[in-house]
Amino acid sequence: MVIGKRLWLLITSWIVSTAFPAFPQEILFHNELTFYDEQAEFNGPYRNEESLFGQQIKSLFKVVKGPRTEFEAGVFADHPSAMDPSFQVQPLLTFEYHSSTTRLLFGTLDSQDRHGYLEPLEAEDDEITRPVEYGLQWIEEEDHYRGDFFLNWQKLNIVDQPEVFDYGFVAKGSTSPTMDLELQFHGHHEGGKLYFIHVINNYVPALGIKAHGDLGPLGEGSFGVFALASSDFEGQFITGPDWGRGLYAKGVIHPGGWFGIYGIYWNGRNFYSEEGDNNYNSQGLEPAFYRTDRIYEELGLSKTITDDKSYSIEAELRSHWMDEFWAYSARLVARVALDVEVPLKEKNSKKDGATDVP
Amino acid sequence: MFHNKKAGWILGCLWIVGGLAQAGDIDLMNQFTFYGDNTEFFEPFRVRETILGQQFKSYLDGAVGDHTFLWGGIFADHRSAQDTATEVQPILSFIYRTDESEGVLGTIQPVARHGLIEPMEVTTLELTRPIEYGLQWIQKDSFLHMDAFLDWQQLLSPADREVFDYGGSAILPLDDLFAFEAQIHGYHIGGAMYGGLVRNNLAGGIGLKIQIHPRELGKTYLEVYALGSKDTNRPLYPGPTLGSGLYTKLSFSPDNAWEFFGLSWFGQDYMSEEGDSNYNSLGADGVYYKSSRTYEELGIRRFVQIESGVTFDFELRSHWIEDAWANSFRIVAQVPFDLGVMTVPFKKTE
Repeated sequence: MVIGKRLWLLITSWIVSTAFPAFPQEILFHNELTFYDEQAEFNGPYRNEESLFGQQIKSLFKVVKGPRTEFEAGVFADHPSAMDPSFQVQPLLTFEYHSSTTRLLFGTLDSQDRHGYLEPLEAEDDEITRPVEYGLQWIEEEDHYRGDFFLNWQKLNIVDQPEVFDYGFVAKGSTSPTMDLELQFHGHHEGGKLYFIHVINNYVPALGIKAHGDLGPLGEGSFGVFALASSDFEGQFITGPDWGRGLYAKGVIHPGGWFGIYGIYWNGRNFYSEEGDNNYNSQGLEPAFYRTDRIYEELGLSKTITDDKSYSIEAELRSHWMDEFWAYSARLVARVALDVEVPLKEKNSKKDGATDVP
Repeated sequence: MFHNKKAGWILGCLWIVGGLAQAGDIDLMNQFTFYGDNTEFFEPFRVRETILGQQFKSYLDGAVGDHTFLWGGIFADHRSAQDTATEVQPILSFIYRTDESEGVLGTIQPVARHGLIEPMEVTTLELTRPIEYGLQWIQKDSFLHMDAFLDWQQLLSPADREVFDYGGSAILPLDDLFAFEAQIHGYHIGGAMYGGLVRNNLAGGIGLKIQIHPRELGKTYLEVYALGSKDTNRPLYPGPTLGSGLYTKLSFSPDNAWEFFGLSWFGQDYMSEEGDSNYNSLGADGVYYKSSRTYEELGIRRFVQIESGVTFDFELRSHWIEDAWANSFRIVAQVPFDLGVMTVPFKKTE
């Protein structure tokens, strides 16, 4: 039986609500509310005007099984603000195995900040439009190294629909206290043999170096340069060649610590990234529009107010130059977190063989 | 109020079982299963498939007598994807249990496909059909280890044919070294009431298992099965009704954690409806047919009991299907989370 997704609210809360009166319990009930407003005033040829405005809630139970394992179960709901009261609900189910430096996730992924991808590899909008991902993930975090490897399954292979998944990694190593070396890769696949034989693959690697530190009156600053490549075999847009490349540079300063000012410069040639910001691609929205050599620039102001615990408010105002075209965009995102510790006690004994594994 | 009547019915069942079972112990049994199974098969017998998702099973386990129990709850399966609906099924069972036997009427929670080998039931059924509905009898004593079942898949109606499968596996330990084994699996599509073709598929066989536990080699066994199959009334079936096969499995586990195994299969017109079709003579397209079949498989499995009942299972396999080669792997994490709800002394019924 296939049910409406809102029943997930009842399913996942049923465990606790049934057991709650009987025993003292130890469990963390984590809630996160996000209020978002994103306005992008693009008028082509690479991106169109878009408004995202709504509220999201992530509500889940975190249960620690032992020193190495834990699981999470809950729901995510997204309500784009409109008179239409419907909202999108998705389950959150994660198994995590961890050590002091390693996290292995199975189920719902930790996709914070788009895994750390640059905009040409994954569009910023995904933070709002795809906040929940499912698959496998390995996060390694040590003193001088951080790696995030993942597989995100987006669509199942069913009749008239190919399987769709993206995968990749962001690996960063510190060569000195002010210098990082970073390697990124993002792949996108469409295919599936069961019902669909057409296969699409898009690969985008990036290698770069980033300097960062205190710039005195200019505040904390950073400057990074990345060389990117792309290959698109039988992609959706077949106007250009299979291979492309690009140069990405971004500088950020925080004068007086009040707000951030950043600039992005992009020089691309036949670049195409399936999941990246389309302003960086050579292929326009219309299949007939294609520009081999691309220049893209962006200037922005940003301000974040947070206590690093329970809330954050992020505001961003941007100006975009896409070849000879100009546009602006803005984002305002407020997040509130609320954790409640619920007493809960797990029963060790099992009465039946349902959970036995051969 | 629920828009879906079935959803309301499921929650109604939970409430009823919770109420009925208040005369004894009530536990809330929960299990989360995180699974990924990828097969890179090519035609003609199987095609590649990826199964990735999460399953959640939660049910009240209430004792209503010394040997009788009730299960009432839900099972949900969410395939990993952005836009998938979640499959929810009820769990509602009556269980009769003694030290050596267990009978289940209602929802069945099969373990390892009832012990059936791959030519009888394909391994992916562990993920795609983790619960079944019907009857089950499990016997485990010094003479016999048995799992017999009837799994009703689809009820007969003017629009649908009745579909069920049935069978079981049995092991008779002869001594510490040898065991006699027998398995049978049937699949039926029928319902003469509304006309239509009645189809039956039956596969079964007997086997011998030699199992040794040398201290320096760990658990090792050799299993040999002679199987037969009978398939009737399959439309446009190009093969004969009867088929046969020889299945051999050698497993070597030096530390009882890592397992190295190899499978060999010789088939002749063998056909099993729910078995791994790599063992069948009929191709995946229903047209291709190869009377004499060979199939081999080598694999590594690692089963880890991490902590607090949490287990992780990893399997990597290499397949030789006639002159073609393929690979597959599976990862499964299972996380139980059982809660004691209440204990109430038995009430004697006058």
